[in-house]
Amino acid sequence: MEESKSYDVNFFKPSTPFLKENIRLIVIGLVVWWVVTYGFQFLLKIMETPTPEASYVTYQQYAPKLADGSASAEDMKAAANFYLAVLGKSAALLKNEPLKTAFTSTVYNSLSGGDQQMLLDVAAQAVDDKTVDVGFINSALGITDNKAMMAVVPYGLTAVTPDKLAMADPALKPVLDKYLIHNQSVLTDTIVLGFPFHYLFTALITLTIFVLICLVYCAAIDKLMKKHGMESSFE
Amino acid sequence: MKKITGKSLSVFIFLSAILFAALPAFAASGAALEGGFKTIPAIILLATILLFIVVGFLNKAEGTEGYYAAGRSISRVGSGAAIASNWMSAASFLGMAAIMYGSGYHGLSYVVGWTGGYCLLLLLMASQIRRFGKYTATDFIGDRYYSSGLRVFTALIAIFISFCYCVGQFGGIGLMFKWIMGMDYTWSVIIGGTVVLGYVIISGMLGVTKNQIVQYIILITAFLIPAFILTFKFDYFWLIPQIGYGRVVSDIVAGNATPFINSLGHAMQTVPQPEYAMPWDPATGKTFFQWMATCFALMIGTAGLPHVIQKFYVVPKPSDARWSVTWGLFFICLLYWTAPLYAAFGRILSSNPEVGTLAKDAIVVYTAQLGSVNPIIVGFLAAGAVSAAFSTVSGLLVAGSSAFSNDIYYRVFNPEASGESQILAARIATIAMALGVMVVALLKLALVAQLVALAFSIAGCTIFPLFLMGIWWSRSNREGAWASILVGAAFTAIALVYFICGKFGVALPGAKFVGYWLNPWYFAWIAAPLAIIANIVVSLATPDTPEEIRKHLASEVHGVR
Repeated sequence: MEESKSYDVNFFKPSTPFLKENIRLIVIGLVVWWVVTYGFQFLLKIMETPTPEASYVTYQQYAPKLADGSASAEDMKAAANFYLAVLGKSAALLKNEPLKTAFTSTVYNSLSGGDQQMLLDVAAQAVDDKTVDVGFINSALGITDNKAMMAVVPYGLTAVTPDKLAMADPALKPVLDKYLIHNQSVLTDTIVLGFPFHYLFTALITLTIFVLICLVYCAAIDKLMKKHGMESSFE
Repeated sequence: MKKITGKSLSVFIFLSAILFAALPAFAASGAALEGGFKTIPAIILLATILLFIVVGFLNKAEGTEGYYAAGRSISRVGSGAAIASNWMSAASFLGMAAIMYGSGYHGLSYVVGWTGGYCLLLLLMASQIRRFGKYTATDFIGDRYYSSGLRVFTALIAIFISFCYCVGQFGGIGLMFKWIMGMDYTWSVIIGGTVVLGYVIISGMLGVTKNQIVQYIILITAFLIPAFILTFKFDYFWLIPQIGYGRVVSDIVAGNATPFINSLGHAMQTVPQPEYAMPWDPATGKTFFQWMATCFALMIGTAGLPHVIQKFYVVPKPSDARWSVTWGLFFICLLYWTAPLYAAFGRILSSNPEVGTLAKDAIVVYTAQLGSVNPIIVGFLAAGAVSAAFSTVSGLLVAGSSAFSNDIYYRVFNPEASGESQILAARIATIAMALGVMVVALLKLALVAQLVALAFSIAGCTIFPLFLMGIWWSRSNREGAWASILVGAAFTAIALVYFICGKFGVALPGAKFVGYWLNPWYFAWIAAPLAIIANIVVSLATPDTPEEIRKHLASEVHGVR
């Protein structure tokens, strides 16, 4: 072998037995690292199905009736509950006027005559004053034992007039699709140690395996160096 | 040397005195979460900073020799803790929880990216870098690629990386000072920045490694205690809070009804929010591609950050370099296993609209407050956040200013510079950098974690490819290295120009395309592979690396005899 050749270093063409074994260890480590990090995410991606929330599936059954005006008071109440739960998801949705109009309109229609006028007043007031008394709405919607929902009511109301009600504005569909359809699979729906499994895997198991990769590699390479007698002369 | 230390100390005492004298001016009555001067946290913060200085003095290194000798007396576990505290900054302490709080599962790409990078670092680089035998990242690149031009260019990039990294840290420091002092963000950044600058000027000469061990212990204790308290208080499995918060995540997905209330008197309940935990949920506006790209960019960035790589030069032996990475990663994971807990509790404790919109980057502290954790412990948590930022900022400012004084001032402008004028240049560079960082931090361009991610992307597509190829392929030569780093720098420039123009409302052609595929937080996903390809192509088309360097690489670094 000519002299200059022997000083070439190439990850894919290891020139000494030590390097060969060292690189084999590195490759094993990298493969485990890749599979744990990216392999699992690819698996999640491959297995996922866009899954609407249960309340959204039910909603789609009575939504046409809201649009053509044939909805019953029960449908109105269900729709109002549904819109309220959506509003409670994020502060951004609490600024979405079509959604707030749909909520207020369905509440209006699920109330009886006298309460309807009260709602219009309260809704107009709630725009600026969130401490307004909404007890009668909570009772009408049957949410008096659900503090999470009750807290959202004053924030979800908006000023409406009886001639401008919109219970299922077509503009709502993209918003509802965005917030109510999730990428789910058996990996996300299985609960392990209280976690959705995919969350447990990414947040805890992945990191634990990283530490193990490092631990095993360190032990293995120390052994390898000893085997090749490199510990004293080389290190 | 002693004289300078004395001077710096008096500067620091003077600054602290001004700060204390000014305190009553900032005191204002406040709401439960924000506003108002918080005496106990302020005292804890001050005590923490003083502790760092005292420990530094007790372990003061005498000259360069002493510095390395001190390094040798520290165990692998100890240098692991030092690696962890050098690494974990406001981005880890505050920023990750902020991203998860806002974007749910997408935030986990930061958690995974900022830990998995250590596997790359250990497997591909740590002991090899140690064996190469240089002291800084710029030295390695300058020597391996036999080019002083490349050394200067790398130094410039290293300074820029430190700068971007610091901007995020100053943002975090500002938020914590804002929370403690109850004044507005601008003043908080200015005062917090001044304190950190005073600290850096002093600590530059103190026992760094021992100090970082103390800093690690403080920040990890501060971060873990509230996690135990929160899980205990709200009746989750508290013995291992890192597992106990799993039910909190499931509760957010399914919606829940607990009998508990938060500190503002609101029920700790939420409507069902599967978008919090489901992968790349449309509601978060983040996609699968963004998850993968962010994670990858952060990983290679970890293995390319000068202040991280430099840690391996100061350990006595290559095997110590490896074991200290392993310990370091374990210590880092102690915090990373816990960070999502704060985001989950924060989400559920603040789900009531009456809580209002909270500053995401302070969510860790708000969560502890909303969970009615004792104010002393919350104060300790905030002090932990500040010390996390301090330890990293001091490392970055020192790295940045020494790159300036050694690689640029000494080599380019004034090769005859005496040691003293080099130190002066480094001082001036530190102050100039800190002031520049302060100004940019005031613009509030993005979240802390995102600003730091920018530094990672830059490191990942400029410095990482040079190290990777430099260690594992002797054929990679000076010309190839230039091609590689220029590709990385060009992508950095494109991503930054589009980002800054976007921020100031200037419409550029293809802004949407660039904003998605070459986003400043993760453009390295494509820039790094292209830089490596450029390196290979240009290297093969130009003469081989000089034999002397190949020999050094083969025999010293890879043990070919």
